[in-house]
Amino acid sequence: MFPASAQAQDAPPAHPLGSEAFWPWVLPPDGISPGAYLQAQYESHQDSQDQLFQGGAPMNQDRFLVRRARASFVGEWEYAAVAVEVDANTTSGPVVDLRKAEASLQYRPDRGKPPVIMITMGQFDTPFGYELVESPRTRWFMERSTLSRAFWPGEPDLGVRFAGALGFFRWTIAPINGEPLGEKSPYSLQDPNAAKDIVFRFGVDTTPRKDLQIAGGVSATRGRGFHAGTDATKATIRWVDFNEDGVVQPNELEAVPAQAATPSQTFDRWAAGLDFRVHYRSPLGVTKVYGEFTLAANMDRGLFVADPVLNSNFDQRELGYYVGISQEIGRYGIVGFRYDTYDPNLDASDKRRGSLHPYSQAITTYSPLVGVVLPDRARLLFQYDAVHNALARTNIGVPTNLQDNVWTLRLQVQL
Amino acid sequence: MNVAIHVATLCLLLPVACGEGQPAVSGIGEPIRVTGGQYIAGDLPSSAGGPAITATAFNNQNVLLGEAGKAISGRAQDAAFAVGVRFGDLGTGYWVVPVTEPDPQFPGEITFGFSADFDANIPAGFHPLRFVAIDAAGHGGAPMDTPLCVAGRIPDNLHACLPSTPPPAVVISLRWDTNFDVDLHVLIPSGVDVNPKSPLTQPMEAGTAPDSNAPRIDRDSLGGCVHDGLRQEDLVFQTAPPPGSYQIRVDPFDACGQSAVRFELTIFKAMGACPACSLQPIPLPPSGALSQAGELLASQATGGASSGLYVLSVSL
Repeated sequence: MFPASAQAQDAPPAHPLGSEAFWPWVLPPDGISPGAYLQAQYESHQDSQDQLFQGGAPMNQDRFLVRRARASFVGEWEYAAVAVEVDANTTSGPVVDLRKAEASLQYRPDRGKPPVIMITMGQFDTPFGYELVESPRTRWFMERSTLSRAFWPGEPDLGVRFAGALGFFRWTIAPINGEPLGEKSPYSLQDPNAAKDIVFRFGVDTTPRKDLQIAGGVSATRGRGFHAGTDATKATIRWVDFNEDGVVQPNELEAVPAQAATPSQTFDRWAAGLDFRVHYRSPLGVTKVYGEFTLAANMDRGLFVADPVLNSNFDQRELGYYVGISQEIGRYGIVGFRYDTYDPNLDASDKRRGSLHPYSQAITTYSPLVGVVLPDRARLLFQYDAVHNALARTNIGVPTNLQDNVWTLRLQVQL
Repeated sequence: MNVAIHVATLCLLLPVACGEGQPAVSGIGEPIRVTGGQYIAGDLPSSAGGPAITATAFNNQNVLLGEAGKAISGRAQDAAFAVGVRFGDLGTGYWVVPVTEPDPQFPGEITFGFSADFDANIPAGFHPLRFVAIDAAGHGGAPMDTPLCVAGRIPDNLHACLPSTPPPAVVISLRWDTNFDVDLHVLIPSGVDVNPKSPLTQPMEAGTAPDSNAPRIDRDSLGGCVHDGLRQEDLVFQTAPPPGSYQIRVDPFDACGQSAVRFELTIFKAMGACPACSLQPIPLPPSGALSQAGELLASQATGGASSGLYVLSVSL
């Protein structure tokens, strides 16, 4: 979300090495600054088929799409700030929604540094770790890692964020609703329970030399997930074709009595993580090495959705990490590679031949990336995601990889 | 081109992962689909000394038109890890399901079970459902075929399976292509408008059941816009219909959110002497074509206020 006015096409970036374009650490100029970028892409998925899922969603994902078309403005004044960002995309059909709506009070005596303290209310990116708050505008890789997308299907949530920077020390504490944008429940960006999820991050961000920046931190979140109850129902009659002859017989008619409503329940969930990143500027360009490690329970809200209430209150323990490296090749080239793995259930087992066999549901992705760049204006990127999972079975019934590799060609142009 | 890019990139960058795993093919176009099973293209593992299937079990051996959730179970020798299943004479691949539990009633054997869906366009008649047990090394055992009688798209009293059972004398069949509530209307010589809301050709006394051989329309497909997966209605005459002119209309009762629907009308007549008899489409006036097609728009939906679009009159 860098404002256009802060950048010039042919000059080196105005921001220091490693400076990130996410709040509360972004350093916008005083006044109101507009910003916008558009990511249009073609993507090909190995698991595409010219068929529909049950319910009508297309299986085909080989397509052109507008992944993100975002416009924003940032208002920066002595003691107050505001940020609004709107996104339009065609990822699941045409959608326009609000990505950021941040109203802040701040104390920022040194206008060249982040605020000593900032209090923000509204809708902001969940401040857990690094990848979740990294702007898609500056991220080289197409999407966040699998774990991050599973835990937080969308980056923004609603709440209040307290943050500050003292020298190299960074801290953030944010009570949030805990129902992020895009989660697979009817309560996205709402909150069906009164308990708020608390997110902490404590870290460092330092530039010991002009050509080296080191940052990292520890993050934690704890909150309560929601298991929805059921409505009361009326009595009905159901036909079950026991003998599969297609004809209704009296003994095949079953009474389904009226059912009382069942209460909703909540459950505990938490995550803890470590993140680090290093930027080094060499004659070749900036090298960025970064990674993140996360251990959690019942946090999956987008992929293997966790609900221990349905699972005899056994927590769904999750683990994931990624390591990425990107290397600028002069001013106009970029290469990168990311290794990312996510195990959605460390206790998964598969029943075969009458016994339970532990197995790994881990999804591992190798993502090489190459691209050409017009500095601060445009980038054309190609990324291949070689995905390994356990979603298929061999011909002896043992879990194996389902081929669903992806390649993406993306053009991004920005103000 | 996409496949080539996937293969080239993967093999170039990650040779160890090249081609690993199962292709993502849902098998939805297969004549049989196994819920929770893994579809694998190609033939079942050949008989290579693997374990044998010892028993299969069904509620019955008939498969209704487009039947879903048919329960199938059985047993295999204890060395089996999985069971592969497909039609012996149809389809392009097979389905794998892991075996479940050792069967205490049959020592040395292990059970399997699954539910299967069947495509509505399987040719009518007997088809062998082939099972092969597969051991830990992937070796298949001797195949076991169990014939299933699959009902055809056009109601034929299972004549395709039981040639001694005659098919209906005449079937007037209407099919369409979208989830549009279309109704078949046939004005029979006695003046009765037979349609899905009034499916019999003769009035019925209160409290009585219709004769099973009474001419009738077999279903109200998409009635109330409830999907039934068939989009087809048939007026079935088990015996020769009364002579005279039959006026056929197609009523676009409710568009159900669709913009248009294309329909096809075909009339089948039993030909030949049974058991060698069969249902054959008859030429339709005025062109003599074997079917009459047309299109209706959402704006033409009647809500039952009329009998719909006149298609043709035919003497049966």
